[in-house]
Amino acid sequence: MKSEVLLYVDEALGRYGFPDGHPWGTDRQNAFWREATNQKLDKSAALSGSRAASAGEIARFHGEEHVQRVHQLSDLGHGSIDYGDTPAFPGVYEASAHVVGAALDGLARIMAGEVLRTFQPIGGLHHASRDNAAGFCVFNDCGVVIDTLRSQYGIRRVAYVDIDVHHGDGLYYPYESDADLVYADIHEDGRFLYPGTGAETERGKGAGAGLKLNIPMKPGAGNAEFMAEWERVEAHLRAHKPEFIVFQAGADSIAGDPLAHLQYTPETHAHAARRLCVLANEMCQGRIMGFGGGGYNRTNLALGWCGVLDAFIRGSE
Amino acid sequence: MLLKSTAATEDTEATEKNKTGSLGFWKVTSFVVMYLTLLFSVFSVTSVAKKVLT
Repeated sequence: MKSEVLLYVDEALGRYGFPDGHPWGTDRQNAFWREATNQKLDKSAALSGSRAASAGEIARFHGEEHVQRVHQLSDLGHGSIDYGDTPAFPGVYEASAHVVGAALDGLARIMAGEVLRTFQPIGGLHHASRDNAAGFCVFNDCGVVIDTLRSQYGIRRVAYVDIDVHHGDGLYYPYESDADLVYADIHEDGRFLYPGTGAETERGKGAGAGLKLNIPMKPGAGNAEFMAEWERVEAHLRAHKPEFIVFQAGADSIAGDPLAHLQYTPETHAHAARRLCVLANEMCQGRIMGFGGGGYNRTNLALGWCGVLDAFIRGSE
Repeated sequence: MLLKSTAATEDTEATEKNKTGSLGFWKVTSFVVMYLTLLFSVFSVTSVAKKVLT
């Protein structure tokens, strides 16, 4: 049987991680892969390696100055790409270009009809803005995918759904006034956590007013609170009928993450992925891309992301 | 500037402060209850003593 899901795991993607005990280390992909093979999920999804995105492809979303600056800092091999969260290291440009390249490869193969769904654990870098890196995110792969859908495939109505514990400011603000980017984000309340944004009142501006849904959760919120709010996400997507779904499944919202305070279990991630597959089948010809996003407790990210991958594998059931 | 990598530390400190605040509340409550119990005991003993003496 032809696999409907493509999983992006390779050495080049694994190199996207920061040195010196940084929470986003290079061991995250392996932590996921061990659990995926343990659950035999690797047998049900087709595997793919990544490729490096070109500077021109990255610049579909980012300013050229930002792309060049990352290149220079990568050659220099030290310093900070943002204000302190995202350190430069030798090869950071190449590693970041592979994250974007894998996403673009997945997108191309979905649009070619080869697969319906892709999952890329090392991806979903949702804090990078058009002109800056931020919060461990160098290039915004999801932003590049959305702008590529528009410029290369003529698909404008895209849904971006984000359940990472941190608000997806790198997607919200660039598309705040966008009339076709359907945005839904459940995250820990910005009054308690980085980046401090994503208030319920942030519903989009101008032509994008009403198209954005931000749902801040109080510290300590668990599965019951998530499930109740998730109904609003589904209603939001149904109301605005996207043609394609981009899903950021950050595992740092699971209880025990060292950087955050929500109390979900991995079931929230599996539930969100299952329901988004149903919505994708109804409205998007099944087309959905999943990204791992954050997650700094290795057990949590392994279980959370495997829940998403398992749901993607079962997507047509 | 709010940092993602250190936000948890700051938040943890805030959480600890909140926890300390909660503990402080219970400490004060326990002290008040103990004080009232002691006061009531003294009052009872005094009343009994008065009755015995009169």
